Amino acid sequence: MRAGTLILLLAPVCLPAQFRITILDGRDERPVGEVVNLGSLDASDFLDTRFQLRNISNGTTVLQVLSVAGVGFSFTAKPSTPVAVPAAGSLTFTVRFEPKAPGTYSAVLTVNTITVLLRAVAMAGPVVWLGAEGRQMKLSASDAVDFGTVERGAVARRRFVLENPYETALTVSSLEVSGASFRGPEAIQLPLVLAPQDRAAFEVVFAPQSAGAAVGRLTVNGRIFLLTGQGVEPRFPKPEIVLDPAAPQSGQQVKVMVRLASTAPRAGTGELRLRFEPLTPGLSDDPAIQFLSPSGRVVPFSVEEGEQTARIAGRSEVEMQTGTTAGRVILTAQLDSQKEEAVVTLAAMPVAVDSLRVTRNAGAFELNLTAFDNTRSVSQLVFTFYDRQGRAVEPGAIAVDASREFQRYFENSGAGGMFALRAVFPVSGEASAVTGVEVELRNAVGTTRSARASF
Amino acid sequence: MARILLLAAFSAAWAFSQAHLSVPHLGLVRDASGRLLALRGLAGNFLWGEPVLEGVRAASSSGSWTLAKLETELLLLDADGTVAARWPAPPGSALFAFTASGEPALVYFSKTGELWRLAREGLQPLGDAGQHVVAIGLADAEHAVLIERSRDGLGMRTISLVTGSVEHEILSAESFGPALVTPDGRVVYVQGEQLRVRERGAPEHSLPMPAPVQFLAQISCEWIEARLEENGGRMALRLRAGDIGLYRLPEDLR
Repeated sequence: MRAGTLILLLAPVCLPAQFRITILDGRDERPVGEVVNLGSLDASDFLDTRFQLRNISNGTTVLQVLSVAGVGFSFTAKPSTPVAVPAAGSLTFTVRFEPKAPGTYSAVLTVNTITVLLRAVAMAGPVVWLGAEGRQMKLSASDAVDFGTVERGAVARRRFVLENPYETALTVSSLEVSGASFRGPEAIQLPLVLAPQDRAAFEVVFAPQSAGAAVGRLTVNGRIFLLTGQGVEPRFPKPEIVLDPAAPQSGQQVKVMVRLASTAPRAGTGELRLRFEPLTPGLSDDPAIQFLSPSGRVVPFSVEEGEQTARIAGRSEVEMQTGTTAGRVILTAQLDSQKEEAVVTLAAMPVAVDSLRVTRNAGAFELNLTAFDNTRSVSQLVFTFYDRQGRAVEPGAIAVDASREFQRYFENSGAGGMFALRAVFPVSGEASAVTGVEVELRNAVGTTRSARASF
Repeated sequence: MARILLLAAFSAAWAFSQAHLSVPHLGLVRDASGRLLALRGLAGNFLWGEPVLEGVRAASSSGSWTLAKLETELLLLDADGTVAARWPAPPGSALFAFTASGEPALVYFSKTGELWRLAREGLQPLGDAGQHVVAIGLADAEHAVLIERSRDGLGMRTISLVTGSVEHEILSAESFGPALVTPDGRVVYVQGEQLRVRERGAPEHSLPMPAPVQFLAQISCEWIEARLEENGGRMALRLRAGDIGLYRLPEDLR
């Protein structure tokens, strides 16, 4: 059984020209004759040639022998043998030519019973090294040198060294860098004659012109090395939120500015947001807490390249109302990945009176007061009327417990802590003698006494 | 203690039976699309209310009353925005004036140049005031004030409502911008990017504005709206005795 199998395996090998050998060059396929000239290359380079074997017989053929014999030639990828190749099937393998020194080279490629003579020429040229002393990497033509990821406006440098490892002088007549985002060579003069064992260094600079992949070429005496890099838009400096006044209270309009820690490296747009957390949990939102022009709780801003202050609707600032409810206003400025928060603490405060006006009607005084209570906890009101001499009018201070009315009002007003109070005081006697009034309002923080309103 | 009695003090039931709490109301304001909206709030804390009227050509508010000119009608609205009276009117825009207590007083129809007095009996003609009037007001109960624009700047004409006598005065040779006469007789006008406030017997105040002022309107006896050019938004000016405050109004008018 074993002998029979051996005979079966060996039988096709004895048949001539059962494989057709071709060279794959991209999408092209070139037939191979008895002699193949692989071409010339620099002695410090290597050359890979990809071959294909196609079984042109009508049956399965076993590839028994696949070898390359010659100084500087080797396989980089080859199938294990023996291997059966079905009719019309194919195999590929790669022969690398990597000379050690300038000269003419040849090797014999054997495929079963077929032999092909491979020839190549290695020419003297400078060895190209990448990197600093002690950490150098020898480059071969078509090697790609990656400059990494670099922000637009910044640069990355790579150091190259040309070396003459031979016993005769070498001339570098052509040394060029191409590609929009690459420049150089720097720190080298041409033409350059490298004495035996001599070295010369130069630099290539990657300065990306835009975001995205960048490709360039370094050409040394006709040998081409790829240069690659990734450009990215520069990061914005951290935005800072500046308030004027710096520590606002309820009932104010505040200027809000967005300033960058340094000038913007490019133009961009961002957002300024605010959210409000009332000091007393469960209190309804205060709709007056908002930016004013443009209005709302989110406003867009833009930064121009070279500027440090953001523009909000064409201006360098936006006003914000702090509303009439105690709590925290959290401002967030976001510019790309940069984010900054500022917290405005609106402390609980006694009632703030905005206006107090009294008008005389027949037999009564009508008192109109506008104010805000940022704790929404007004409890007691005290009214004191005065005569022309500044004396309190009988019965003196009129105290009213108004906590329930205010509580009901604040629950339903939807207007934060502001309120208008209209109170009518029937009066008897010489009403014209009453000329002033003061109002005290008590809330959870303390008591406020209005200025005396004259009427 | 004085011998005047405040009756409320004797009534435990008074409490809040004769008192009323509400959201502070400043006045009614016309927006660029002709809607009339309530402006609520207090200094530095404003909120827009819902529109109460549309198709408004011009409006002015004293806080307690608002005069609104529709295309061919003049309306008087109360503080809630309810129509209290209406009169037929010539087409076009109009200017208005109030008394110091906020009662409607005068109306000027821009297209016809007619000046009318608003009284309890209704509209009473005061005659032809010309075509160059930019603001009207009352200097006092007996004198109307007309601000007029000419090549020489802004002029002020004071007309006696009793005798019909007229006095002319140059307000500003450098101003051609909008102007306004407040219910208490102050004259507000624009000079460059300055808002100037003239009050009888007091030095003239000057207030820098963030952008040139395009338009002035009365929001209430104390408050004036200043609409800025170049999409600069709206400012609110508060005029009180010895005190002028400038605030920004929220841009979104709903």
